[in-house]
Amino acid sequence: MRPAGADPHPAEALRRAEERLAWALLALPLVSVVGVVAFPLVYNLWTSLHEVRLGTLGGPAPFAGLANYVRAVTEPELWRAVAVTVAYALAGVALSVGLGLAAALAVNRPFRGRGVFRALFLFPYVAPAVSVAFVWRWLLDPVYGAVNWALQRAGAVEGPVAWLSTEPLAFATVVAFEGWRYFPFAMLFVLARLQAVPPELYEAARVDGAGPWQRFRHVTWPELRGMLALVFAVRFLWTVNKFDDVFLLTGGAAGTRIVPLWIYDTAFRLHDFGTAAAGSALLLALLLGAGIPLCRRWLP
Amino acid sequence: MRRPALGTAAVLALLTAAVALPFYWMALSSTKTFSELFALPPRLWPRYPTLVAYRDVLFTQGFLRYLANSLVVAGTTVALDLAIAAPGAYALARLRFRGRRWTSMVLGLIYLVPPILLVVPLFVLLTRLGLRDSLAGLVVAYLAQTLPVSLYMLANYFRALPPELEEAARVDGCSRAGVLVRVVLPLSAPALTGVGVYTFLIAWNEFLLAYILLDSPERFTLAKGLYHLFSSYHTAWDRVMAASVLMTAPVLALFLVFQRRLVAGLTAGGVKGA
Repeated sequence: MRPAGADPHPAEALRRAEERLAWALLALPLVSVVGVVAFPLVYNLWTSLHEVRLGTLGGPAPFAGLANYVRAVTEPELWRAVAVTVAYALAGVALSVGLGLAAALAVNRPFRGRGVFRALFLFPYVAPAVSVAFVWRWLLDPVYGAVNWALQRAGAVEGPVAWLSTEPLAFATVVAFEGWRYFPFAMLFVLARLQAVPPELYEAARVDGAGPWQRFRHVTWPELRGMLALVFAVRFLWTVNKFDDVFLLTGGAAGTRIVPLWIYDTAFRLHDFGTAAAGSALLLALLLGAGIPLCRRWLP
Repeated sequence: MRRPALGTAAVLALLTAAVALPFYWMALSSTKTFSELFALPPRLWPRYPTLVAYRDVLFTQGFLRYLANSLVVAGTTVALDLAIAAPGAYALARLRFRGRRWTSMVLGLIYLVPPILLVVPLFVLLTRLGLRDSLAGLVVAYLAQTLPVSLYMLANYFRALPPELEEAARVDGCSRAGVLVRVVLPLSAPALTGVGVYTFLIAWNEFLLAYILLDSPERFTLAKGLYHLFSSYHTAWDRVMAASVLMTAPVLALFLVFQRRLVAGLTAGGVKGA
């Protein structure tokens, strides 16, 4: 240790040293993250203001002003995609949170074999999107799929059903997939919150003669509400962003073209990178508008 | 141990069926003969189980290579992620500096950036750097995707460690960096494992960037290889399912071994905040 008199402001010097160390430790992660994300953000903005086609991708391109934005917002297909995205995210997240809540309540209290269910229920969330999307496609195959066979056998449908290529079934199917794949996420967080509910609350309710429904309504629900709202909000924003699931299931066919797929098609099929970038910038602006207040509220 | 109530049992049965059926069907279809695969009614158990589809995808369709590539990409991402995230998370958890809250906020907001927005710029950037059709390029992209959560999870864990241990070490003359290496990291093995597994899963499963950035079959990861197989042989469901099993089984196994650590890490911060 240095003698206390050596530095005129030892506390200040220590504070400075701590600050320097903090930035030194954070330098690598920040450079990796900000470099890989900040460059695309800036470049996307630049692209959205220029006329970028296949020939000019990656090089100089003529300035286009706001033409790309105008083209994007006057494109009826984009608005249709916005409507599909909002409906898909609302329905899919509601389903996944509902199923997650049911699953969490079912495995909350100890019983024999509970651990097996808990682990199994997380499989859809942990498994790769590509492989689970493909097994769904195979199960739902109109001609040889097991689902159509079982439904026809049970008399529920008359002939083969093309789940992923007819409206409005394709939409319902991608919503079901979202519910199936992400209910484990909601389950995890609800379960963690349930475990933190003081057992005395249930004891007190029981003493007061509350039945199972009343205990849920007056004890569990008030404790869970905040967590459910958070999970709903986070999953909603992520679902709006999500590309893989719908792309792998339908490719955007039959009324399932969500905004990320519209952006993808505009960039990689029409090679109109400028308009695609304008679409991305608008999507990001909306997400940040919704997300910043969320972050403020919930970050430590 | 009590038995679950009737309603609970019904929920468990329905969810179990819904979750297990696709995974069972994947494994089942991958071991059926081609004629059995398209038989109606579908057989629930293969009469002549065969590994022909596995042999074909592994040795003819290149999946042995894709497996190795995915392992290299995911393994490298994990190693770099932990090496970079642990010191950063320590700073976020224990050091006082101006801009700490702001840094956390920026890292959180990165999760709102649509992946599709990153695609074209990363395509251009990695092309310029000569890293586009390469595993290194993927690792760089995956690091950026996983670091924010790794920092968040590790910082939560570090904050929960008793500060007295670190103070004792400092009194004994240990520097801040020494405290991190000699006291904090050894105590954090569970959290480091959880974050490592999480990172591995993200990198192993990632589809969009691999799909856009990779061109050469010898550099395909499993995600890109599986998509490629599906688009080339639409109806070879035994092959597609065998490849799906090859991609899915390792992550499920890894998850089952480390599930406690993974779940604890993911939910630690969330519960406190709500």
